[in-house]
Amino acid sequence: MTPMMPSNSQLRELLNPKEPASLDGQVLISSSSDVVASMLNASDSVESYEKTKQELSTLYDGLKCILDVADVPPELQQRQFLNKTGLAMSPQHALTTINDVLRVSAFVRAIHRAIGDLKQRFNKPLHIVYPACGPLAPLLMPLLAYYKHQNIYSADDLSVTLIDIQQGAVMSLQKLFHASGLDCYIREIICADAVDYHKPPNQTIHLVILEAMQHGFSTEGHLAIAMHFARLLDNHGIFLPQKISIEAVLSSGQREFVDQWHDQQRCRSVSTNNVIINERIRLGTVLEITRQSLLTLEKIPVDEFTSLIHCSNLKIPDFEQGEQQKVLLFCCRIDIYGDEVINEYDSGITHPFPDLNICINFVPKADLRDDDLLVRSGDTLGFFYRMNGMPGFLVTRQDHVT
Amino acid sequence: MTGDQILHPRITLFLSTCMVLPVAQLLLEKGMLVGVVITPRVDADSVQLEHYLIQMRVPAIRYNPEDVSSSTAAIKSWNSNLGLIATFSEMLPESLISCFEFGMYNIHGSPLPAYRGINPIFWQLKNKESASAVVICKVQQGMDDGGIAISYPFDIHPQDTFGTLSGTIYQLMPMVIQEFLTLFAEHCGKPPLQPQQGGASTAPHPDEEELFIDWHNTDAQSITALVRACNPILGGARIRWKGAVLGVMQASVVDRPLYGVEPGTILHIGSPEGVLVATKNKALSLDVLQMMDGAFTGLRFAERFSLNAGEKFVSQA
Repeated sequence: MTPMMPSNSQLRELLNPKEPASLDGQVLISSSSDVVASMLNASDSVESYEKTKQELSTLYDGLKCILDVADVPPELQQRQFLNKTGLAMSPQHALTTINDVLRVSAFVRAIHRAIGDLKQRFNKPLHIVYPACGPLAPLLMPLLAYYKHQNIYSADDLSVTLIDIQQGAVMSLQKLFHASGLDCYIREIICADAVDYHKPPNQTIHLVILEAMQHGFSTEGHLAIAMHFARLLDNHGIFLPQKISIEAVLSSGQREFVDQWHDQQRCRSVSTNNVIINERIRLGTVLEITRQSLLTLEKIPVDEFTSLIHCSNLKIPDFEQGEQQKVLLFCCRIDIYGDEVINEYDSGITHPFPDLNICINFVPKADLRDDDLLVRSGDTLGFFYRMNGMPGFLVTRQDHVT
Repeated sequence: MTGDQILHPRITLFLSTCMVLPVAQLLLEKGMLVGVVITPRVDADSVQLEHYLIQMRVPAIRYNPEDVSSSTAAIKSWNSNLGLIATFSEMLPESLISCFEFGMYNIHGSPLPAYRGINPIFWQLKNKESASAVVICKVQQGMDDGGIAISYPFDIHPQDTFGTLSGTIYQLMPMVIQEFLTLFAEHCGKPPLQPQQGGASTAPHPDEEELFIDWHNTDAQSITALVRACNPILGGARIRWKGAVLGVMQASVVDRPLYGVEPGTILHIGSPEGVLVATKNKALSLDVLQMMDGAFTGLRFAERFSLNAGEKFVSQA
């Protein structure tokens, strides 16, 4: 049998082999430590933001090869699916979430402060659980690197359980924490659906870190996972974020999403246009998620995979129609811990989310869709949270308000 | 009529596709083919048919519904006494039908009176029929409503597409025509005709809207049936995604929980499962997609065009 002739490119590869992807643990620790130091000392200035952004970008550049370094097969890197609680995004896509500057910064500062407070409360090693953490555990990993680099907290102080449903993410975490020497902090890395995690008996969870949502508090399984871990957390433990508030407002889409940002370089809460924000018609609070409410929210079962939570009833007031139709927006604010807040527009997860199926005081000119709900001023809207493979808010008209 | 006229009728074939050339060849070998009337629809297939007939030295004309007399004149010049229609979608006037001493017979791909019309193959597949028939019936003024001379039943394979089912019918045609000619000769040019019995239904060309997958109202098995009915001639069952229209050329029912999501929602993207979409009752794998830019496996399409789990295909056409 005649051997195959290698191509020119294959011959060149033999002569000049590419360096295999690798991870420098020391560089990783150093980069992570630098960025956390910036975050902990950050101000509201543009310069501070840009510095943190640059350092996060450097950290990301060092980390983005982790899936290859961990020998995660391509099919596991790209796998994405819906499960009983919502979307599990692909590990490849999840890598990029570390670049969400304001979100990561706020969480890192909040976690740091919460750990400090918990160390005052508990005279023992703290057990931290971080479900749906992704391939990098981006809200905690840099902080652990900072602690190790600065000799602040050791493995005797902190013990971490990481959980992710994606096998590719778990492989990445195992490689990342081992290569960086941070595995001393790791109690366990678990590949499982977070809501199937069972706390071992006689074990205490002191801190839960969770961020598994997309804008409008939708798509991912944050609420289901939060309800599960609220029951596992020690009574004196801390759940981060401490509060998620979702408000319903009516606004002009053109004004809210286009006019407001016309002259802005980027969307941030500090850059919102007060005039346009004040044009909103506030309906009220749809849902407030705290540790207490997580323990008392009642699910209305619909079928094997779907349940509803009745959140609120809000009345549509009379208002001047104006030139443009008003759109129903879900506006989210995340109070992580203390004064660490992610406001509207500070992160993709807090971008106001329009529900275009709700037609207020108008009938669509194009064909009416099955999902469209026609309502008018004076109607009361019932807000439910739908818990299934595609979680999110469901709006109805409450004809008989109780 | 003479005995020779019965044993060797002078047949005019009415054709529209090269796929039934074996029928022409059979009749030519038997010395029975005197001419061919080709569909008025000018496309690559019928133009190729014309060329083949020229090579075979078979007289042929293009049918023109505006000028039937030219066709009747040609038929009379061929001295044809029997007409056979095999894939010819025009309704023929009485003036033409009456040209033939022994009448005209149509070869139809369904168990008449079910699926009368020009596209029985599409509708039998869409309706998940498990059996069909090649039927030869007498041509009358109505559509496919004449007495049945021959009915040859056969099974439709559960994975048959429009293309393979058509191929099965074309392959059976020469044999069925052979049986018809035997019957024709045995009964002196008047083969016994059985009246059509059972429920009648029509099989027109589907509207474009009928080719779109209605995610909310169609179960997974019916969607796969529609997909097969649209493969390949119609370019696949239609789905709309981000303003574009895609053709689903192959889809498979998959056992997977739907997690309560809306029909049309993408459940899973990943190897080896592929792209799985929720229907009203089961998960469906989009195996092969086609668009103007080419044909893709579901996974390749997802990768190339950044499809994401949780996104939805809409039902409206």
